[in-house]
Amino acid sequence: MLKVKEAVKEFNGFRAVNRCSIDVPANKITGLIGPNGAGKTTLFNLISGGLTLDTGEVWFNQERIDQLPAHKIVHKGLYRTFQIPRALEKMTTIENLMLVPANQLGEKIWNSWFRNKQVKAEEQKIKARAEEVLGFLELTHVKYELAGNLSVGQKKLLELGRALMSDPDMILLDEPAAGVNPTLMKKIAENIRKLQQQGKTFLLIEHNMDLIMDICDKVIVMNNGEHLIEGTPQEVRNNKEVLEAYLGVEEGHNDIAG
Amino acid sequence: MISYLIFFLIICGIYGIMTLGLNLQWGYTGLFNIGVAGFWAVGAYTSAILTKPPVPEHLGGFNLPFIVGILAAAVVSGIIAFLIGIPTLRLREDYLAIATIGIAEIIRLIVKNEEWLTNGVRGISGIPKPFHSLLGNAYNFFYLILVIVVLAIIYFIIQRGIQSPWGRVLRAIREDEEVATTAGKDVFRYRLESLILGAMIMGVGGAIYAHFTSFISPEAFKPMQGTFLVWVMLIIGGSGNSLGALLGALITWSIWSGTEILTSFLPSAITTQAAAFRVILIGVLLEVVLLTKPEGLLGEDPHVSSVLKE
Repeated sequence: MLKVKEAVKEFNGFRAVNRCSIDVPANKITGLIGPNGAGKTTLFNLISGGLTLDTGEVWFNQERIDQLPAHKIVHKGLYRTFQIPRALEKMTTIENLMLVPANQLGEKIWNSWFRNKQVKAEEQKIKARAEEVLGFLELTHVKYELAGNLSVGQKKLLELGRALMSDPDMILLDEPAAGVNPTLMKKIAENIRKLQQQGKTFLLIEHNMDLIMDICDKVIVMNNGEHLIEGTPQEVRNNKEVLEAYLGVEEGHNDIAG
Repeated sequence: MISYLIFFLIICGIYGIMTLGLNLQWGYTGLFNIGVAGFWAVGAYTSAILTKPPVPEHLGGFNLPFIVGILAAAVVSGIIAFLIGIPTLRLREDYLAIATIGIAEIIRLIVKNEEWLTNGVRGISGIPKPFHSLLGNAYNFFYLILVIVVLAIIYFIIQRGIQSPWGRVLRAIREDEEVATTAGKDVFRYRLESLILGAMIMGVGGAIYAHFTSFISPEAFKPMQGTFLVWVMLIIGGSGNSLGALLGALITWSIWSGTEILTSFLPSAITTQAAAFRVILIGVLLEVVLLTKPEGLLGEDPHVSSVLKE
């Protein structure tokens, strides 16, 4: 479903992503792991259009997307979340969700003046959809709370909720379990699996190996910006190279996060 | 006394138009426009040049109706905002600040020096007051009604937009533009729309000002009264709240013009110092509000979307 071919990205001479190719199968949960500085988040940014590739290609649903601006990639059905949850703090939880659906009638200001009735009718539909997502994530009780007042865990769920509002084919999750308690982690894992059963594809960066072992169908390991190996969670866990990558300090190791 | 009150409220209303425009740009979209005076001047001069009877000293004398002048003021201000926005709005927000303050000063210098266009420092006088001959003594009262009608239209235009998904995207951009992009929104397009609409509103305010005073000169568009005071009004009243913006205009102008009356009683030897003192007073007021109510007198309404109100 998603193919990255020979991606390269340099920052001031440092190769964060080095000829990295990955292939993410449809309707599966794929894990992307690797030591800090392996280039995982950079790869995410390259896929989602936050950064542009130096060389290489990104294909999504048989369509090349690496030259599209970031907001257009979302419209192709590929949504990403952030490692540190980024709520729109001075907006309510429900509005954080209602923002997302594409091509809303009321996003053109003249429609708000001249077609206010239709805009309002559409708003009611979007609101109902947002309420559904809030129910799914068990956030209904904080619906009208400003998102800035939510806990870190709730913001993580909200981040996932925004992804659901765009009803994408595929979701890129950047450390969905980081900084959340074990109960919430279980809930997030359950939600991811439920969504996969509904036909969604996931690619997730995660450091929590229990979560990876638990939900992933396939795991890709990155190290030093390169694709190291891939396989089932079991295969990867028992691989010697992976252990070395995590434990051994290799040359070129750098502090750039993710 | 009544006539002074009417005069006072007209000026408040004109400042209110400016703060509504700035609130759209800064309060809702986070666009740091510190060139309000530039759009004010463009609106004022555009309408003045188009509606005046012909004179030999400068361009103009098209004798067009008042309403054409107002609309043209909006269009020309909007075009200038578009030209500023194209190169700057893709960059970080500080670039817009630098560009707007620079262009406001450039506009003021053009107005001052291009005599063929604006009559330079001598300014443009005899700007027509619509229906003046019909109304005579009650003129200012009529003009106040006109200002209120214009304010109401602008208020409606902004509120409808802000309460709809368009406004939600603007507020999302203000909070975190990367999240807005990730949500599939074309951040640049929305920023440009907000900057242009805000500037058009300021242009209308400028035209309303020109037809009221009937005389404009470069002196009227200095950063102090044209930009700084508008910002103070918005911050005191409540950024991100259109009613707050209007309240801020009323309160700040009350203090500004009230202290002017007080200082006029002082002996002439110290009136210049007193004028500087008024600026300090406004600065102190701003500090007090920022320390005690950082969100302004009326903060932002978290449930601004129209469907969330029902």
